[in-house]
Amino acid sequence: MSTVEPTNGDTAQPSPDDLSVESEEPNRLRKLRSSVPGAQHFGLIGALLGVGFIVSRLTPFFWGTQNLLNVGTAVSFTGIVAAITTAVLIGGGLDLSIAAVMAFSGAIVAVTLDNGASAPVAIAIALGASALVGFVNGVLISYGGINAFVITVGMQFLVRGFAFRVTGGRVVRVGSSDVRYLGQGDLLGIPVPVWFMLAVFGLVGWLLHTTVWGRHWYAIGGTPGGAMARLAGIPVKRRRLQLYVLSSLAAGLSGVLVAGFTTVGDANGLAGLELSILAGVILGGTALMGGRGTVFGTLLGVLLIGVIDNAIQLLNYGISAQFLFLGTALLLAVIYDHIRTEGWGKS
Amino acid sequence: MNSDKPAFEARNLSKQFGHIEAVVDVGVTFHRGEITAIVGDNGAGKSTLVKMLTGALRPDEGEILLDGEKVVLNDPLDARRKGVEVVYQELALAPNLDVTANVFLGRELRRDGIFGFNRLAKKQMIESARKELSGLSINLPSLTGDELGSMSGGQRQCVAVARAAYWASSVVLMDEPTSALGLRESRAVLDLVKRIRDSGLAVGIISHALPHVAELADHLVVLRHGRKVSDLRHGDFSVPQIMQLILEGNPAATVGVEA
Repeated sequence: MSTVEPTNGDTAQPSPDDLSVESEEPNRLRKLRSSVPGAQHFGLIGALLGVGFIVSRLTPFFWGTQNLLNVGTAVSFTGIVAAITTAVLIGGGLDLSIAAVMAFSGAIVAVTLDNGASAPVAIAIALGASALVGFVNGVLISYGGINAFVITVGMQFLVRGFAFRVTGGRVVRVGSSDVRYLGQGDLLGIPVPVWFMLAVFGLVGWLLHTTVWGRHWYAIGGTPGGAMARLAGIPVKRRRLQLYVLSSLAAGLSGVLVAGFTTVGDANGLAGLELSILAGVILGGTALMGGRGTVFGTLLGVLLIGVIDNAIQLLNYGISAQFLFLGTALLLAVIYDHIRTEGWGKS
Repeated sequence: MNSDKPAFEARNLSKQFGHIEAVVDVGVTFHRGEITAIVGDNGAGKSTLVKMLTGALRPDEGEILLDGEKVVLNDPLDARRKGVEVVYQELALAPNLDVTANVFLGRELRRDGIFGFNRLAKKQMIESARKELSGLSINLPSLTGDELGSMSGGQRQCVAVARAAYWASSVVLMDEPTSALGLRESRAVLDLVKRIRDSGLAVGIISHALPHVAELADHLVVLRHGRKVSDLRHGDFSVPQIMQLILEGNPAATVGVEA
């Protein structure tokens, strides 16, 4: 990004009331960070390379093409949701119903296919139902002004309930080869879910950095409750509603891919996944309090979690190691985020 | 610099809250090229008056005119669309965005073509922001890339004021523009307010900082208990004089009251 000084023209002679004196101390680190795109992610990139290096020394299987593609596929299901969760957090929101919506969407696809619907129709119904969940979340949170945590946790139970209703508590098999292709197939040697993930990351990055919506999401998250954004005339409620709809829609899409990958719709599946998604987003440098974050950071965050998850499986460290790692990563990310934005000891 | 027709005018505004008469029959004119200061003690009705002027409150009685035309200001956004800009005390800036983004906050310029409704015209905004800020001799460390939150209070205030000047077509109203600023920063903001006046906009300030009022005001309106007690123009206002008007509403001092 270029730094534009308004003093280039002859109209702006340095005058006694010139304010630039205030910023004489050059913050070199900040300058460096703002001049090199992605420089704030050096730490994460280093961590990713470091972990990759260590794991490759411990097991020869890690760098295998097939294993890396497996990591990519595993990461893509959470990544698709994490991309838009980044935008939700940037906008000062929170959506904890995402994992439940994924299971709900997978259940709907499986059951509608089971009842004879074609794959496109089944997918459309699942995505429509997911978007509807997001719409209800968004209306209650942004128009009703109710706390996002409470609404989306409540919605999580409600949606699970619907998913169980839809499947009747059974694990429903997905027979459609089209839906299976979406979860298991590959295109040009890359798994289809990875393509979807890249597309969603690209889309969210585009929205955040080149569109009015993205600009408004950042502005809304920049001050508590979006107060300043409202004064500046930004349609805060509508912008927030958009985020919750997009969040549920991405969760719905991911749910369809998971159903294709696992070949089942399971109302009971993916429990707790929302926290692992949030961990990836926060690890990637997105502020919990809103206003800051990038999809690139999130991509690195979910990749880091995916790689370590994979290593734990390859090395057979067991489920306890996975939880220990995820818990540690999440806590460290939150502590780091807090120190960076507010400072230790301050609330 | 006083043209005959005011750019912005309030006539006989009144507002009651229950039994409390917050503002009674107050008229104020804002002329282009003039700074109108509205002063009064706490509870004098200043903020109620300003809220009516900015569309945040509907007056019970009276009317508001823009360039001589009667208008109804439905809400602050509506007032803004009609050319009345407000610089709020809390500035309405996004600290996590850069200067350019803040100048266009909520009114982003959009690109042409498909998805144009949603695409930012970044270059155009940077160019316009640079022109506006250098036109007002505002010197900031950067216009893009650096967060506004990393700049000083005075710099932020200048951005808020410049934004209002950029968008205003008639009048810029400022609520306590120098509160919370240091001496040097206040100086910069005061000079900026004068430059905006000299650019041909009408300027209104509401302030408790009487030395600043004394320096800036071409036109002084004093409120007391919801009523206008003085309306002075072309005077050299001194701080003790203004203070006396605020505290005692001394009618002897009301020279040159407007008809």
